[in-house]
Amino acid sequence: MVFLLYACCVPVDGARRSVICDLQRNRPYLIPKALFEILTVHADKSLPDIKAYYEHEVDETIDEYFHFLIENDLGFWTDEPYLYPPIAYDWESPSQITNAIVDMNEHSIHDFDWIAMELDKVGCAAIQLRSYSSLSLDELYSILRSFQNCRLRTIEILLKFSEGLELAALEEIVHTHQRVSSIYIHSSPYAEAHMASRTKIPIVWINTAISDHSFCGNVNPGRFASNIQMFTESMHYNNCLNRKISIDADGHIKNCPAFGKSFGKAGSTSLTEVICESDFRKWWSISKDSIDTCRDCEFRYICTDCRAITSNDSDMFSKPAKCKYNPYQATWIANSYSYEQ
Amino acid sequence: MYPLFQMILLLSERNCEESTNLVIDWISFFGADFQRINGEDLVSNGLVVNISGNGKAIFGTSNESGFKTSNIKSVWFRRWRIPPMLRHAVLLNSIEYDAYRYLVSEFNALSASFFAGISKRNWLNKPSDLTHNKIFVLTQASLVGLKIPETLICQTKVELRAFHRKHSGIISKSIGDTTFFRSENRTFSNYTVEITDKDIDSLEEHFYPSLFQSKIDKQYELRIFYLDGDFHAMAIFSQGDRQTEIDFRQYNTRRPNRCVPYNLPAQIKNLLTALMKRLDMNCGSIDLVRDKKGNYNFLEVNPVGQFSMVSYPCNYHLERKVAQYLIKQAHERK
Ligand code: SF4
Repeated sequence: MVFLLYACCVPVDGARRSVICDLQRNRPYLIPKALFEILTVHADKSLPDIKAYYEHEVDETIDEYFHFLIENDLGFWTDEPYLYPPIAYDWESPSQITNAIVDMNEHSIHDFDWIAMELDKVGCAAIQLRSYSSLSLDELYSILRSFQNCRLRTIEILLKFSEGLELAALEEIVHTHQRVSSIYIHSSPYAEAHMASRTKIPIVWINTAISDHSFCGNVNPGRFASNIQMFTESMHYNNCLNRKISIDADGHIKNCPAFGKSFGKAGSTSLTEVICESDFRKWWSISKDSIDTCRDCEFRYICTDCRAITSNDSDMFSKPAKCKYNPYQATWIANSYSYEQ
Repeated sequence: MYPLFQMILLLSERNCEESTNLVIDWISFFGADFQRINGEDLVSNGLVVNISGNGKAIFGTSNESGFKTSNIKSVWFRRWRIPPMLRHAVLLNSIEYDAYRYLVSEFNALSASFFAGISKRNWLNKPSDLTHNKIFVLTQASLVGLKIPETLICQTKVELRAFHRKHSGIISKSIGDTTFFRSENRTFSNYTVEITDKDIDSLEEHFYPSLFQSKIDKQYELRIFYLDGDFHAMAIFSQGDRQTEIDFRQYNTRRPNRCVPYNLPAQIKNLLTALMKRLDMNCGSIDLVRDKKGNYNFLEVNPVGQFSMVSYPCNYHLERKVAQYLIKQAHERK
C-alpha cells in the first residue's frame, strides 16, 4: 500500500521548505522539505519501507506527516496507484487574448466601441476597467453598453469614489450587466463590503487612494491563487502578462499600463497586429521558473508575477520589487506578512 | 445568399449552457464556421417554414439572420428543451394548462420536422438519444456484461418492504429525467435519496410507481465522458461526506469532493463501448460506482451531461476535443 496525493494536490519544492498546492480547494499547505522528499522520491514505497529507508530514526515524525496529510484530506492510501494518473499540466485557451486592462483618468478619450470590437476579434474573455478619476453612472452605463454584444465573460470594475455611486445604483448595474463580476470603489471615505442581492457579486468600498497604475503588482499571500488554471499557466507562461493586452489612460496599447513601451494608439493601431509582434509577445513566456529568486520559491506557481515594477529595471528576469518574501530563509520581511499555519 | 462550406451546426439552449459557449470559442479559435440554434429560436426568431410542392420544407426566418441548414456538414445535438418562455404559471384543469400542453406538443412537432430537414450525416448525439429510458439502458448494460444494481419499480409498501429486507440499504431515484420544481422564490430538484425503514413506515399502502435500487457500498463514483470511442474518466471521492454520500449533486461547497483523473480498466472500457454501440449513442456522460470490493457498477448514461464538471478538475480540455471532433467530421468526405 502506498500513499497517493490526490492529483489536485501538487507538491512544489522551494529553497528552504515546500508547499502542497491544493488546486481544488484553493489552499497552499506548507510542508517541510523532508515530507516533499517522501511524497516524491519515495512515492512508490510503503510506510514500513519509508521508515526503514530513514533507518527508523524518524518514525514518529513520519507518522505525524501522514496524519497531517489524511487530516487535511490531501491524499489516501491505496494498493492501486496506477488507477489515479496525475493531472496533465498543459495550459490552453481558445482566446488569443485572455484578459485586458483599460485604464482611465480625467484626460482619457477612449472609444469603447472600437475597444470592444477589437477585443472581440482576439476572443478576449475578461476585462478590467480601472478608473483613477470619478465616472458618472451615465458614463459607466455607456461603457458597459459598448461591451454588450461581445464574447467577454467577465468585467471587473475599479472606480474612484463619488457620491452618485450608491449601493442601489451599483446593484442595478450588476443586474443589468450580468458579466460584471466585481465592483471596487477606491479613495472612499469609508470601507464597506457588500454582495449584490441574488447575483452575489462583490461591491466593495476601500479607503486606499489610487491615482494611477502604480498601485498594482503587490505580492502577498492573500493574492496567491491555488487553482488549476493559475498553476498550469504559471508553469509555462508569465501568469500576469501571458495573452494580456492593455490600453493605458492616454490610449497607448501596451502589455501592461505600467510599462513604458507603447505599440501604438487605440483607435488607429489594430490589436490583432500588436499581438503578433514578437516584442509584444516576448513577455508571455517568462515563467516563474525563469525569474530570479522566484525560481527557488515554493509559491512560484500560485503567485501572480509583476514585470513592470521589478528589483532591476534593466533585467527582464529580475524579481518583483514589491515582494517581501525571501525563499532562501523562508521569511517575510519584517512588517509585511506572516504566512504560517 | 450565405456561401458556406463545412458548416458546423450546434443545437442547444439559450441560457446556462457554458459548455456550448466554450466549444464555440474553440471552434472560432480553429477558424471553423458554425451556427448555433437554440430551441428558443424556433419559437422566437420569426421562424418561417415553407412547405411547397417540391418535396422540401424550407426553414427560414423573416429577418436576415436566417437558419442556414443547407451547408451543414456536422451537427452537435447538445441540448434541446421546451423553451422556458412557454412555461406559465398554469393551474391544472385550467384552459391555460391545456394551452400549455398544446404549445409544447406544437414545439415538439416543429422541432421534429426541423431536425428532419438537416442532413442525417455526422451528428454528435441526436434527438432520439434523449428518448432512452433508464430501464432499457440498465437492461442493455447488463446484457453486455456490466454489473448493475438490483432495481425494482413498485407501488406498494409490501413489495418495497420485501425489497428493503433483501438488501442492506436501498435508494430511490426518478424513473425518467430529474426535473425542477419551481415555487415563487425557490427552485427544487429531485435527487437520489436513501430510503430507510422510517421512510417506508411513513408511506401510504399504495403510492405512485417509484424506482428503487440496492444501495452500493461505494468506494467512489466515476463520471466518464465518452466521445466516440475515447474515454475521459474522473473519480469522485464522496464517501465520508454524509452530505454527498448518496448523491454527488448535493454539493458541499466548503469542502468539495475530491475529483481526480481516473484510468478506466480496459475491460470496463470494452463493455462500455459495447453498450454505447448497442444504444447507438456516440457521446454521453456515463455514471459508474466502484464498490468496496472493487466492482464497477453501471448506473446510467446521460447524452447531454455536464461534461465541463469533468473537464475542468481533470484539466482534460474536453470542450476543445468536442470542437476538434466536430471540425474533423465536417471536413470528412463521405
Ligand atoms: S519570491 Fe517570487 S514567487 Fe515567491 S512570493 Fe516573491 S514574487 Fe512570489
